Amino acid sequence: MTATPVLDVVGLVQHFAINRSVTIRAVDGIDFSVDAGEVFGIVGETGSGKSTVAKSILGVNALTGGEIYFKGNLISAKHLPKEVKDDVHRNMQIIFQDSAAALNPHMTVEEIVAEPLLVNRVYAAKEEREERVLACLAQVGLSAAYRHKYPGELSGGMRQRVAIARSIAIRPDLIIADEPIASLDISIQAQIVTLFQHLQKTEGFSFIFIAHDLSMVRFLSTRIAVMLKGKIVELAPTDELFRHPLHPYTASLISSAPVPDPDLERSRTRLAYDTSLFTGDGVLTEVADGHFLLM
Amino acid sequence: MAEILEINNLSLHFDTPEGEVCAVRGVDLCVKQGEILAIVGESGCGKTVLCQSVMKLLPKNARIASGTITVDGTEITGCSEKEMRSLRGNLFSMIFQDPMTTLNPTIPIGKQIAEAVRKHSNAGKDAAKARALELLELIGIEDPVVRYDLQPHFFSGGMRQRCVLAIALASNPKILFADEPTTALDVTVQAKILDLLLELRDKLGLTIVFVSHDLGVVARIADRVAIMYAGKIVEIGRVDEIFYDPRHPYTWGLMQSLPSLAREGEPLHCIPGMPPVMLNPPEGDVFAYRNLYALQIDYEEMPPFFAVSPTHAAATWLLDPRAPRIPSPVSLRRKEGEPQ
Repeated sequence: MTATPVLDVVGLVQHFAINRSVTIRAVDGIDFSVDAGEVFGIVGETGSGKSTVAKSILGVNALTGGEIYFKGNLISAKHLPKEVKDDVHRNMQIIFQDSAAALNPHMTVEEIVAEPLLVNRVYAAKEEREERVLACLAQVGLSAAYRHKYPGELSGGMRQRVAIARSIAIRPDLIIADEPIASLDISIQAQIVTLFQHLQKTEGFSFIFIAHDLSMVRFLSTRIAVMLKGKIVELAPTDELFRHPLHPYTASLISSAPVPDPDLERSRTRLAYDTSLFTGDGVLTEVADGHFLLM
Repeated sequence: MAEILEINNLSLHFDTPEGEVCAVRGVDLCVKQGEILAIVGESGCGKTVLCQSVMKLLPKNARIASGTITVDGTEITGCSEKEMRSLRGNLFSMIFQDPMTTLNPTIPIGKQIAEAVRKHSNAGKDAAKARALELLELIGIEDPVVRYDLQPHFFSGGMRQRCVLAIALASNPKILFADEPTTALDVTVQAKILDLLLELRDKLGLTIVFVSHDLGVVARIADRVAIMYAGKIVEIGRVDEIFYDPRHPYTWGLMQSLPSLAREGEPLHCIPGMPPVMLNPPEGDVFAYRNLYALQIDYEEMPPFFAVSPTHAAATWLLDPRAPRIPSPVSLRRKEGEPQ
């Protein structure tokens, strides 16, 4: 952890004021950093604030508190130098859960994948751009025959491939994927996860993988953060987290995730954790090498 | 045990502007009293339509092309809508994936349950309320008297699904169709709902047909499993037979796509291609085009069911005595378990 991390989130707070008396504390002071070439998983149940973290990093919401650094530059301030802003736009990409909503239905696959290249003026010549688009489509397993199709003509798995092609087109340093496989079939999920793994190895980008499916996060990530009610309750390397879960909530999540093995599944005891008792007090403390716990 | 639901050679077609879509193709299935049968498959494989065809909750363009459905000794294929209405609820009920769209957001939960009670019996107002409170207690809602008067938005997703279950159980059905009842829920809540379903089966002797695509959930709850692909059941057997001794290449593919069964350090195996559109099903086995182990005959002729054991059968030519023997590539073995 000596080199500058690709992303450094310090004390991120994101509150949403619904009205004068009600404020939703979606994210309530979290810290983490993502190293170059790392796959960082964020898991949590509905309403834990994991998607809000993604949006805050991308600058969709103005932060309530805290700072976000991208490759050492502060990116959460209101006014940023032009170079920093351009760098963020070029080198940070997102993939959403619902690919139907993420892709413009009036654009062809080719136009969709070319758009980030066009907006960021990556290539001056049209031919170069076209070449890159086709190369990206090939990388995600789509043949050139798909370039003139519209998103509406594609299946969910195909659309997600187009969204992935778009995100890798400008060779970003960081890709954030917010539940990218939740709405896909199991056989297609496996295809997309394998694709992520392959692309991440060949392109070497950092990857934040947000999901509620523990088994997929476990398969893909090098480190995992577990979120509950806007807090990170535990953060550890993947193997360490699954072998020695320290927070009772993590333990209950792991024990609740169903395992496709009838004998094992029926003999397991489920650990219950009453989330209403969770106050969110405490600080994330390193209890073992790289293993952080909220206490 | 008596067979409560029997489906014989059921085929179901949808008339669409593009042509006829065969959603269910010649399904044979029987479910015993008090059994939990899981139907597993990817989206579009016909698992939901199969349940809906028993309930007769099909859209207007659906047509039962052939086959019979017998529930508790009564043949229901020819029943009119009026007859079906009295059967629904009394004989079978159904719960769906999203509890919020099932419940009316403006009416208190208790009233919605009492309404279901009164529809299916001639109970009076007070008797219906008493029965509704009893049902709320049964499905594990604390303080039923207070919660009786609350609208659905006061409840969490898991509690809403419990209320939907209460409505489904209002008239003591014999069979419960549960169509992905836990897909929209968090894992910790999902575990509790599954435990509740198991408890209800033991307490009420309920028969449950459980539709899911999650093999982990199925491993937890099912007694028997039917794997569906493109409108056909391709493999059926007891839960241990399906998980520890799968025979159909599609079942192998499904199991291998699960990250928790992947061997450490090895990439996930995936089934190539996509589920077919059933507009013009090809000749032979529909799965052949995605099947790594496809034989020449798979492209020509639909495989019949080959019995592996009295309770286990799979429709694949690989089980034909003349076919080459291919060992299952799935690593899951009994009692081996995995590091957890």
